[in-house]
Amino acid sequence: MPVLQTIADGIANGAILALLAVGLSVIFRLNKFVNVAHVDMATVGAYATLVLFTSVLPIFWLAAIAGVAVVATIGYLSHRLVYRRLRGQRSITLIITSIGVAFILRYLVTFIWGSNQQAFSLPLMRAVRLSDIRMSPYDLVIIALACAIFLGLFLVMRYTSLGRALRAVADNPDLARVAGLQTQKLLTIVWLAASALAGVGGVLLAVKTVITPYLGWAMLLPAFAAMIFGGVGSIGGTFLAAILIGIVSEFAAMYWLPTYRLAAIFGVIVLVLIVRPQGLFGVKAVAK
Amino acid sequence: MTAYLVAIGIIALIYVLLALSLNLQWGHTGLINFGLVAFFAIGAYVSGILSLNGWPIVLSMTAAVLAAAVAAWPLGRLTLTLKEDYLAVIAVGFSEVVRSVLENESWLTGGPSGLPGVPRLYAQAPAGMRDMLMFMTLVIAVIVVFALLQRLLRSPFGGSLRGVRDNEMAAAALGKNVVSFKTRSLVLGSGIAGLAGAFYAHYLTFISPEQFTPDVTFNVWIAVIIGGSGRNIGVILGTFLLIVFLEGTRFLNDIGIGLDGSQLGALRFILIGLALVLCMLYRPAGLFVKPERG
Repeated sequence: MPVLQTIADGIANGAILALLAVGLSVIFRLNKFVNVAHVDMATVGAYATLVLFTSVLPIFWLAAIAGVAVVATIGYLSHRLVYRRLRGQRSITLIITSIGVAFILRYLVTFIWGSNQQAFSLPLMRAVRLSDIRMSPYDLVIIALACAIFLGLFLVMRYTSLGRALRAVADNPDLARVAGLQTQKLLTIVWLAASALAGVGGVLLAVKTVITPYLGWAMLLPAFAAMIFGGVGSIGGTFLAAILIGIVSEFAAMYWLPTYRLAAIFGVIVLVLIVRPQGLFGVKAVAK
Repeated sequence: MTAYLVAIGIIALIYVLLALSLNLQWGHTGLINFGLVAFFAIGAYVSGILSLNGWPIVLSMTAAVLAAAVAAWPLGRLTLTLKEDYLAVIAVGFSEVVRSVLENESWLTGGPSGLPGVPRLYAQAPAGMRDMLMFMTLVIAVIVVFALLQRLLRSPFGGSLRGVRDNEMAAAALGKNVVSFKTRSLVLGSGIAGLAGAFYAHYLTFISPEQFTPDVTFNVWIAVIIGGSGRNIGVILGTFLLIVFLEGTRFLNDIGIGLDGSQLGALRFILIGLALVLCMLYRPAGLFVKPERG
């Protein structure tokens, strides 16, 4: 059944998309702007890992962790040096600033490593067969990792004091501050975590495809689609929406034209905005 | 040398049209149109295709303006009731979708190899005069668009646009239909971008999808932001600064800075990104206006 196979491939793509989208979504909810540079952070993660992997850290998962740490640092610095200083400005100012940051990141990568395709030299592995479906072990690891990360996020948000505090800040930052929550500290944690997840997404994307300076930028519309489809700020919603979008775009690639993946995702956005602009699990107030 | 200056002048004036278009949308209305290049592309391809099919250029260019304006309407309807961020990202996506359609629908657009042989404006004029005539036509077009925009922006409509930009809630409370004003600004601006695209097609006589990447959009953005959003004269100045910058960096190689072509291109965009960030941090009203306190 090619249909089942397409769904399986879509889930693997959607799992990566979910990792990229969740940070975008949480930052939109807390800082009230779409951080366009978020997806370019994924690109930085892929290149940082590549450099470490081919030089000092020949063990892939160690290199990946170090690469992700680099991205988290850059994300934190961008918050600290740029966005935090624009606190209280309208979101239009912040979006334009973030496109500036995106340009700096993307073209620094191009400047240093050129725009040629590169790839991690990972061993080829035989695909695993599950009745009619064939999946590469890498895809299985990607799906498992994404599931584990999202389960972790869900548990943290639901059952820890950190999660409670974050939800409070998202609902009403002023009230949260008056209630004695350290909003700045919480925002620092969010920016570190969101950027790190973008880095993880970037590394996984690079494992599945090839590395170019546009690796992350190409995911902006899909990640945005997952964010609004899932509902801004909803972690579970983002995960579900990303998987669905992964499947939809895989079907578009299989049965329409591979280059029309993006058009299909655009179609999803149009549908969501017409039918349910606040997304699956979103709050109406965020969309407006 | 004159020929070179005229060629640069033509491109600069086409960019001025794009900048005036974005300035109406962003500078006067506060719309984040990150998909400007889509309407530029629609203008170029509509006029190109129609004139290749025998339409007189005046008609094909008119159709280009209308097509670009009409294409903006659903985008406005879809996003302008929502937070500003939605238009921003969805417009980038739209421009990339438009580009992928141009690449894939070869029967109509010539696909990745583009559309050659688009008729020139003033094809009957002697070869040496054509570009000069084109340049003069563009000067007139810019003056007309500029004058119309100034008139429009001084009218009550312009006042309402700025009201929407500065305080949406207040504008709505005064009974202005905010979404309708935003949509009209988006549609009108896109029409101007379509006009710029049509001129572009008939000047270059060859158009292909790779001329319509988001880079164009952000070049125009930087021109508008440096020039001072909301001031049409400033924006024209900003565009000329941009062109000087783009052309100037091209000569960097001649004076022997050891960078290859792709590094030079990358360096340009790093500088554009830095300029955007620094402008937003220190000069949000443009390079020529000191920020007001308070």
